Amino acid sequence: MSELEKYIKENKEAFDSKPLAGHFDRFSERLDQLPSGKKVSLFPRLLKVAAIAVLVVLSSLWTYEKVFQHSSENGISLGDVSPEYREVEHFYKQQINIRYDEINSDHLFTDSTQKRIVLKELSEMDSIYNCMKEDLKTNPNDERVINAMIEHYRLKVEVMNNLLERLKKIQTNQKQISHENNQI
Amino acid sequence: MSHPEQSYINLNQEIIDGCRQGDKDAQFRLYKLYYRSMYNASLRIVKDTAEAEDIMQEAFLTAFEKIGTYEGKVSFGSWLKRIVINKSLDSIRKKKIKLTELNEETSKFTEEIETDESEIQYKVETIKKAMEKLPDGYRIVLSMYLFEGYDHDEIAGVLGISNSTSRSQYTRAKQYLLKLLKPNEK
Repeated sequence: MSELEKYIKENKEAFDSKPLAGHFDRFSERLDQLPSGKKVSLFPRLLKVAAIAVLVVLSSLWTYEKVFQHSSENGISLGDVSPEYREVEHFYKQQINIRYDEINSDHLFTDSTQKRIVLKELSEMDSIYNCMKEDLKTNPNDERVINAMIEHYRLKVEVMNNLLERLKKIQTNQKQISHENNQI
Repeated sequence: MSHPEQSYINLNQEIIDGCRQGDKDAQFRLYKLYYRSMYNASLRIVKDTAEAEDIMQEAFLTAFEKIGTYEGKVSFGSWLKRIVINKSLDSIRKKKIKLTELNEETSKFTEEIETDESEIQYKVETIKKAMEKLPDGYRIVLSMYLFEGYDHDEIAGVLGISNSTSRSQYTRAKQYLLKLLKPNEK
């Protein structure tokens, strides 16, 4: 380093000049003319927009979860696939409920344990259906699952029909027997 | 791109944060902190006091406007000074002074023998006056290297010249200045 370089380095501050008097006021004036933080606040404003967007997305997700909670928690039922399938499911459920009512009515079963076993077996069929609901959730619109679900309902109605038929037969037989007994 | 370890922690971070929100008080406080070094950086390039003040204040306003682009990779002062220097260079370029022309005009000095520094009695005022007599190209490289602490790579980047041009320009500028400072040359 030369003498000159050394000298400047050591006396750097002394080389500084002061701006002309009044420069603070002049700057203050120019600062006031600045469009009040319009562009400066662009960044926080973007953040606000982003925060609102996140909130909207979250709340709509929450609503979606709430509305379709039954389906998202326990899989997708047949009726969740489309309005057409909802009608199909509604029809079968109605049929099944009519038959449940019949089974539950007191006059068919004389033995309550027998009745309990039948209802338990029928509800076991439902557990298979619940598995299919899970399947449909993992494979949405998989026709094989949808067909299996319809088949399940059809089968359940058929099983219940057979059951009721036999129960009625037993009942009439019993009536006949008791009638015959009475006659004797 | 920006790694956390690269980010620069400024001593006046709260003031800078205030400026980010467009807080006028913070902006004025920042001006008070940096006006002196920014004014002198500009003055050494443009040589005119009124113009240097205008450029310096303009640079502050630009910095407040574009503070969102300050990533904190360098100190805030360095970032601001870069704006000041660029604006000052733009200003003298507008006066149609071409930095390259000055190379030839003054190249005759490079052939001369080096000035014996022991003859010279350095004084701040005489050096300042001598610097004002330097051709623009020399004065700018010399100021940026000696006063603003830029290295030759940085000077090359700002001026759009090569590193070696910056080096040779600086050497010539220094010799020119010494010549101006020699007692018998005054």
